[in-house]
Amino acid sequence: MVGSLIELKAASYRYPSGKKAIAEVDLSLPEGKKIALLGANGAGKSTLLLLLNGIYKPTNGELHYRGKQYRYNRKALQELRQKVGIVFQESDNQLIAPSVYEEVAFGLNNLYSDKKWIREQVEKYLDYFDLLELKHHSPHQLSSGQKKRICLASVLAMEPELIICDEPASNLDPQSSRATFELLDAQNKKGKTLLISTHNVNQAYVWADLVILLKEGAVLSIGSPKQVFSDAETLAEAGLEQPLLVKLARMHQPGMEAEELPENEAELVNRLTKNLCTDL
Amino acid sequence: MWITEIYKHDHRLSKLSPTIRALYWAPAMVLTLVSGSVYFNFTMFLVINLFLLYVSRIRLSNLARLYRIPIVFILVGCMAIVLEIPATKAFVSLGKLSIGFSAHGIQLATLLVSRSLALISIMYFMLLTNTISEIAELMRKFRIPALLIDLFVITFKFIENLRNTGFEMHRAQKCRLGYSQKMKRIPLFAGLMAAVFHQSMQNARQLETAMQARCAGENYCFLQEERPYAISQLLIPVGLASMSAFLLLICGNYGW
Ligand SMILES: Nc1ncnc2c1ncn2[C@@H]1O[C@H](COP(=O)(O)OP(=O)(O)O)[C@@H](O)[C@H]1O
Ligand SMILES: [Mg+2]
Repeated sequence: MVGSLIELKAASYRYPSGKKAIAEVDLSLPEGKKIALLGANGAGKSTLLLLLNGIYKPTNGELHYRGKQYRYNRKALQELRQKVGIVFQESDNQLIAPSVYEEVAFGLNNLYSDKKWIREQVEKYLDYFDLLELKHHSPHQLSSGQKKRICLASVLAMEPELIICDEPASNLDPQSSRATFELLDAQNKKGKTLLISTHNVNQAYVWADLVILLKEGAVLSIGSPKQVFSDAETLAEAGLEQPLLVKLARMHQPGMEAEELPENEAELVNRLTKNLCTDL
Repeated sequence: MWITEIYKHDHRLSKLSPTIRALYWAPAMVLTLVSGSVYFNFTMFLVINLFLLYVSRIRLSNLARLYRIPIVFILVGCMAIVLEIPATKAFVSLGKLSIGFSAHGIQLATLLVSRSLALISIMYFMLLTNTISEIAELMRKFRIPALLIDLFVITFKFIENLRNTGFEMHRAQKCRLGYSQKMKRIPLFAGLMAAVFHQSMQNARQLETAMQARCAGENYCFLQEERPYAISQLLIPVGLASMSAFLLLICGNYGW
């Protein structure tokens, strides 16, 4: 049994405008997993992610990190934000430095004072993210895919335990999107917990270990992708559809149990061809 | 046209540390400030622009465009100095009012124009060979109060943000065939300005959030790549500075 990294206990958040974006959410995020936060536009995904990083303070309820309650003083927040890294949806609203090098060094420079170590760390991450050649460029003049890589590098260089990405694949082409997910998965292999918000059910279905379904700031259902996505009604209530794989499998075999759903495309094709062979 | 759009990160001084780079422009600035010689100022203006074209690798047309706005301002300012009413040597008279140029005014205005142009070119030299964070770092080294530095950086960032937002929105309006009828331009423009301000405030807020998420303190602190110092790097700037000082001495000596 893996311990939980972050726990939300009856946490609510109301924007100053009066809009209640998160309502009484009870949630526990297990360590070392790939977690997908699903919801339609405006479901409160981004707000929830910002709560986890301590940017917003819940209007009601508590947040716990490794069993300890969040404290919203300066020092505790510094610590928390080092451990919980967040990559925003719009790269343009995250990039601030005039050069890629300074962008990647930004978080580290705020946290630590050993300049020599910071420089080594920056070089390491620039190299890892294949950004060495771009290090003097202005981030604003690069492509979306490159911008996303810079944002990732800048957050991952701080070596957080929980990596949060708000809609990482939005406005990326398939190839950049795949590259982003490969980089994230590599971090997961190193033991980091990933939390990603998305409305792409197909991607979440094959990628995630755990899926959280959000609607109007409340958790609608939570569980393994197969459990959550086998329930078409709840998905429809959240304003989402079933993944294509689930639809196809159900078309083929209407009463299929959640646990029997195929994990990926290859499995589905295998089953179909097998059936075809036996039928013949 | 905004500096950061044409800034080339691989300009010819990019291997030098910002402090050494400052030796290229700071002496010129001091000399221009103390000089009372029109010839010296114009020479500086010319030399600096030629040097800037070489160093910053930007195109002449882009550089020329940068001067458009300051030149308009300077010329308008100078008109007030040059004109004399009633004039001793009038070239136009409206009724009893005679309008002309005053000799003293013209002298003053040329000095003013030459000095402003030289100083502006030096400022562009600084801005086109340093990023905003390098300038901030330099200011920090010279013990300029942190508050002023932050103000400078924030202002710069905000203008940039405002410009980008404005540019994108203007393009979006144009794509939807705005601005094609003359009479509709002004209300469209007013709407644009309102939307731009709203949007850029929002952008600024999100930037701020993203910085907080990476533990930003109260100061905008960036860590630049380390650039090695060497005595030999001093040769060119010191040479250039002494040549300019010599020129200023000559100009002063002959009373040009
Ligand atoms: N700064 C804000 N002020 C007021 N309301 C907001 C703000 N940001 C988001 N909201 C509202 O909170 C709700 C959740 O938004 P958000 O978390 O951005 O959703 P998602 O990321 O799932 O699309 C939306 O109804 C949105 O209108
Ligand atoms: Mg969002």
